[in-house]
Parts: sequence; C-alpha cells; structure tokens
Amino acid sequence: MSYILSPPVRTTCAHCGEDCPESDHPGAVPRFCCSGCRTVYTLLREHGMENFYRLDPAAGRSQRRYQRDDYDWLETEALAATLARYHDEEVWRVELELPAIHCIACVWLLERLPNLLPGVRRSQVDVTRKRATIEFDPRQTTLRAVAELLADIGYPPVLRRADTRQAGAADRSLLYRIGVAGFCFGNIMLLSFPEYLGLGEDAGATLIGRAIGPGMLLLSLPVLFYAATGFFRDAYTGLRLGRITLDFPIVVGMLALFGRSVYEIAGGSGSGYLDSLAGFVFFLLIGRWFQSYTFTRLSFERDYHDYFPIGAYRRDGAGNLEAVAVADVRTDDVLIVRPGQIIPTDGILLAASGAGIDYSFVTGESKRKRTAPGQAVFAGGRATGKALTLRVTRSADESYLMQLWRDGRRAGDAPVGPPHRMVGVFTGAVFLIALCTFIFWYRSDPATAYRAAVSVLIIACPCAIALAAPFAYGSLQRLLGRAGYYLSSAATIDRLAGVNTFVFDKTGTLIDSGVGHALTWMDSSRKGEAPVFLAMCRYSTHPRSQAIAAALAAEGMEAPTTTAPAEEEGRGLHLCWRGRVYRVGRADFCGLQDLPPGTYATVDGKAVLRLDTRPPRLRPGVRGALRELSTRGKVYLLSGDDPPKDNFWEAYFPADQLHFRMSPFTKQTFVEDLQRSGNRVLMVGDGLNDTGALRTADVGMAVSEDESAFSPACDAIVSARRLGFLPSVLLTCRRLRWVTRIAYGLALLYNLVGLSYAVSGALSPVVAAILMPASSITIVLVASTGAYLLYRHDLYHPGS
Amino acid sequence: MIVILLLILLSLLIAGGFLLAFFWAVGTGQYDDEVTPSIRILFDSEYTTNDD
Repeated sequence: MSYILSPPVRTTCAHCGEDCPESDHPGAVPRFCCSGCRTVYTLLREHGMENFYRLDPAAGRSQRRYQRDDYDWLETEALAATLARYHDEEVWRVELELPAIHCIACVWLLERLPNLLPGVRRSQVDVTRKRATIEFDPRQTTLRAVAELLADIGYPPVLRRADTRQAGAADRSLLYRIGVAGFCFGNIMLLSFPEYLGLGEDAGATLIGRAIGPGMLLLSLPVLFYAATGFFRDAYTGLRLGRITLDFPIVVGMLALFGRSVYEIAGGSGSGYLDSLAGFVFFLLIGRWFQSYTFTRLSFERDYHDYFPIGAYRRDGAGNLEAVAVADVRTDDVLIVRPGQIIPTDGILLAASGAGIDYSFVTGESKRKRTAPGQAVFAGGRATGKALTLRVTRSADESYLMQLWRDGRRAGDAPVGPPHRMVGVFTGAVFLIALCTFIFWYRSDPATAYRAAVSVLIIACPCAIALAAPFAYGSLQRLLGRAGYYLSSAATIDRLAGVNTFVFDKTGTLIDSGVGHALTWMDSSRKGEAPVFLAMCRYSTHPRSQAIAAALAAEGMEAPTTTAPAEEEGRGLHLCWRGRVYRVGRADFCGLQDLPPGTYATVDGKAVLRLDTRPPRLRPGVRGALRELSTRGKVYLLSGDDPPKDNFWEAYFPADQLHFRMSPFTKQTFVEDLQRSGNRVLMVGDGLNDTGALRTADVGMAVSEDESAFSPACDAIVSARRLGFLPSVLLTCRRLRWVTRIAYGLALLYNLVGLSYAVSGALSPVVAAILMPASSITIVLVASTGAYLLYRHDLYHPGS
Repeated sequence: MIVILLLILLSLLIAGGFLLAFFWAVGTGQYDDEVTPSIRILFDSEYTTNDD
C-alpha cells in the first residue's frame, strides 16, 4: 500500500494518531508526537510489520504520558517464576495483564510478538480480559526482555503473581451443567411426544411404551443429581441460616415433580412430569448464567498486591543489592527505592539527599512531601528525583495503607431476587393451599388427595419468579455498561436504587484532573532549551514543577541527563549546565520584574515560558447532576486539601456539607457515621485514598478517565465523561423495581391458573409442560424488555 | 415397531456425541474468550509473515 510507504503530510502522529506538537522540522514525514512513538514505528518497520497501521491508522498507544517502569528485578529467576503459570528449562508460560489492549490492531501486533523478539514462541491475546498468554524459551530470552519489549511498544504489563486457580473454572462448571440439563431436557421431551399427542394410553401396552418411562427416568437422573445440585445446596444453606430463600420452594417443587414421576412410572399409571423438571432446571441455570455476567475487562477487586511492586531491592550487610520479593521483606531490612518506583513498606529514611516522595496516588491530592533522613515514610509513595534508602519498620502486609483494605471489606453479593418477606409469604401460601387441597379431597377420594396436593407443590414451583430479577437486573447491568456505568454485579443496581445520601471526593472526581495549569511560551525561539527545564523539574516534587514537567513531556520532549538542580524551598530551582544558567520559579527568583505572578522558566535571565494556574473547572454535566441529586438527599464533598481561598465550592454545596483536610481514615469514618444515622450512602471517588470509604459505603463508585487504568476496589466504575448522567442512572435503577414487580405479578398469575388445575386434581403432564415454559419465557421477555425500555427512555442519547 | 426403539437409541447416541463435543469445547477453554477469535479471523493471511 503506497500510503504506508509515503504517509500523507498531516499533523497527527503516525503511530498513535494524536496531534503532534509543533515540530522543529516542518515537512518531515512521517510525523510523530514523541520519540517513543518514533521508536515503536521504526521497530515495526524494521520487522516488516507496517501492516499494523493498515488495520487502524491510529492504532498505536501514545508514548507521551508513559513513564517507564523498572523491570530489573525480573532478572532474579525466583521472583520472575512467581509470575509464571508454568515453567521448566525449555519453556515458560506467563499470562500478563496488558490494560492497553483496545483494538483489532493490538491483537494483530501482540500475537506477532514472536517476530519481534527471538525466543518468544507463542503469544495469544484475550481482548475481553485484556491479557496475553506468552510462551517463551528461557534459554533465548527472559521475562524481563519480554516485559520491556511490551512496555516499549506501548503495552506496559501489570505484573502480578500467577493465579494458581484455573481461570474461569466456576463459569465452566455452570456451562457443563447447562449442557447436561439442555441435553436431558431435549431428549425427555422427545420421549414425551406420544404423551403430548395423546397416544400415551395406547402406547402403554406396547414394549416401546413400557421402555419410554424408565428411559425418561434415566435421563432425569443427571438433571437432578448433577445439574440441579446448586439449588439444593443454596436451599440448605438458607435453611441453616434460618431463612427461607426462593431456592426452598423450587427444591420442594423439584422433589415433588421427581417423586410423583417415579411413582407414576413405577406404577405404570403414566409417564410423569420429568420434561417439566428438566425444563425447570435448564431455564433456571440459564438465569444464573445471565446473572453471573461481569465486565471481565474491568477489575473491581483490585487489592494492594496489584498496585505494589512484587520485587524490591535489598541491601545486604556487604552493601550489595539483591532483588527480593516484597512479601519476604522483614523489619530492619534496608531497601533501595529507585526513582519512579513505589515504596513497598513503611520505613524510616536513612539517606535521601534531594529526593522526594510523591504520595498523590495514595492521597489523591497534590501535596508535596519533603524528605529528610530519619523521617518516616509510608508504603504507596513514589520516589521522585533520586533513589531513597530506607530501613523497614513494618512489613508490607502491616503497612498503613493495608489497614484501609483490611477495614470495611464487604462480603460478596447475594444473587438478586424478590424480597425475603415475599418469598416467606409465597412459600407459606403454597404449603397452606396444598394442605387445604389435601384435606378437602381426603374424605371423598384419598388417591386424588395425594395427587392434587403434590400437583399444587409442582405447579407452584416459582421458576418464573426466580427468573424475573436475574433477567431484569442482568439486562440493565449490560445496558448501563453502554452508558459508561460499569457495575460489578447485578445486585449493585438494587443498592443504587436505595441510596439517599451522596458523598463526593473532590480531586479527579468532580473536577478535571489535568486542566489546572496552562503553559505559555514567552520566547518560542528558545524551545530548544526547554528539555533542560524538563530535567530540572523532574528532580522536584513541587506541584508546579510536576505540572511543568508533565506539560513539557506532553510536547514530546525528552530530558537530557543533567546534574541535580539546587532547590530553594518555596522559591524555585536553579541549575548551571553547559555554561548557561537555568532557573524555574517565582518571577523574583528568576530575576524578572514587572510581570504578573506565576511560575517562570528562564535561560540566562531571559524568560522562556510561564505556567499559569487556572481555576478548577467542574466536569461536564456535573453542575446539573449535583443540583438534581440535592433534591434527592444530602450531598457532601470530602477533600484532603485545604479549603480554597475563594470559596469555589460554596456555589455547589451548602457550607456545612463541605469537609476539607480529610485523611483516608476520616473519610471512612465520615461514611460510617452517616450510615449509623440510618442513611444509605453512595460514595463517589477516584484515588486509592478513597478505598476505605468506597468499601464502607453502600455503593462505592470509582470515577475513571480511562477505564482500563487502575481504579480502587469498588462496586461500580464510571467513565469520567458520563458522571453527569448519575441522577438518570439512579432514577433508572429505582424504576427497575417496577419492572420486577410487574414480572412477579405475571408469574403469580400463571401460578394461579396452574393452581386452579392442580387443586381440582386435573393437572395433566401436558398442561404442566405448556404452562411452565410459557410462564418462564413470558417473564424473561417482560423483564429484559422492561429493562431495555427504561434504558431507552432515561439514558439513551443518540450520538453520545 | 421395535425399530423405533433402535431409532431412539441412535438419536440419543448422536445427541450424546454433541454433548461430548460441547464438553470438549468448554474443557479446552473455547468459551473462555468469545471475542478474540472473532477478531483473529479477520486478519488476511497476507499479514502473517511467518507461521509455523
């Protein structure tokens, strides 16, 4: 294709398709937004893999915002082996999570990894789970090389200990059960055909007629003793906890069906209701499967192991560095944390000249931390500037941050279903009707009495009721995913419908995280000097320095290796390099006069650029959402920052519902206090510091700019652009309760019709075989259509 | 009429074969990822530079 060999002149990056910054070489093609993208492009060209760009011209991942991780510790085989699913001398198999996977071209590129790196034998991508299974030969390459290559081409792996459990084992068991139930259901129906056509009486006399009954019985055994075991177990668990769950009347109905059928077949009086039994189980299992849907590409159960490094560098007595697993780090070990790495344990700094620690990931707020020897540091901070040396005071599992996870951990969700009281009343009514029927018939006709009573139990089996909630909630859960709201389970919808208090974290949740600063070039002829500023600012942990560094890196600049700048606390940075004087800081620090306050960068006293701080801006739609929510319940704002001087937030929140200087623990306690006074709380946050509050709240919702990126453990992940829809989503969840109520009403109506046959002792297998699937299918249709119509009405916006 | 019995057994056998095929498909992980294979099939063979 010619356009690959000579791409048209355009101002977007040839690799990632993002806008290119102004280039020093206008007209040069292909254009790149940064040198990282250029590297990948060249690498792919060298290996004859330009077709990557044919699949999607902007398929690549931008390399601009990407900070390279340190994979040195993977050289230590004992550590690398913990990541492998299988390894021996000839082959290693690893499953790596690559959150950057997003499109067809990703699959194409990643599955051609063997072309890029000799020694890689096979690479298989799973798009939905965002994982790649990679097999390589340890004699030719190493896990470190694989990880570094993946990072270089824009797919930095998230390294985590290999999951020893078989992936998806639980789902597979359910699939097997559905297969068995479906097989038996179909074949029992086939054998029931003479009965359906009214030939049962005649066939009973023949050999075939006599063979059919035992045949059906044989086919029903796997249904009852394999496919349906889950319902027996759930009913038993419920009873042991002193609760009547919906599984109980279902199990009673199944046993009545089976017992009655065995009695009829053994006595030669009929062929029983085994088709209905198998159909029941089949439909109910499909309901369970539908409900078990999760957004596999998102992870709602991140814990600290996923965020913290697996390996750390320990200095032994002789001063040598060795890579060890963080789990093996003990108190009083001496660790070296390199720039860019995350501190794995709490400790005390031994040496840290000029080093800084960035806690923004833990606290979510951009506060600066100065470092000094003897100072306590906490796990979760990222070392910036220089390497830190620290003595461990608490092992990783006991660290301050871990307490956030330990507290407020919630048990898994129960499956959705009708309220407990309804189940109790229903079960009681069924037994009462069965008893009355029995007493009514017993005097005149004992045989009919038994038959009618058992028929009542059979026909009242609440299969349809059990299907209503899974299909209604499951459908809405899928549809909400389209609207940018990803819920961890269908039961979250029910809890969302009940919340009446709303708590928001500030930074990153209500305001855009990246728009607080603006960079202005004052002398663009000196842009060539700007990379030095980037290098200087990287040494500093001051938020302004970080903002300048981020802005320069976003322009595609690369920092040269310089010496560390001198830092004057609160004023600025100063560096003499290659005969020139570079300064970054306040106007008076830079020697500039008559200029508005701001942060400036100068070369030899001449201003090159200025950093302005813009006022915070709410995310789109949030203003209206806040107003609407405040009509539903109290809306609180929690922030770890100091209160702003301009009372920005008082336009949106009543003053007594604004809380500043909140630590992760006080946030959690705040939510607990609200719950104690009877409120049901929706917590919306984004940082790791919100984890405790997110877990404690009735619903914890994490806001994410990029759904594939890290988000703390929560019940729901919402795409940041869609936060404004929150009131509509809550409304839909509340309205969905009406859909399930209508479905329950219909199911009860079917039950009443069936019961009228049953109490009169006239329930024939054919009536049962028609009524039961008909009711189940009606309910499934009503529940899923209802959920869809609600979504269309409240949330569907064409083109959004 | 006894031949119907044979036919029923045969049909059961065939259906059982499909059931086993389903078990095999689930067991070899073909239901673990339902999206990627549908993407993979879209790549023209010319894109593959070396297949083993």
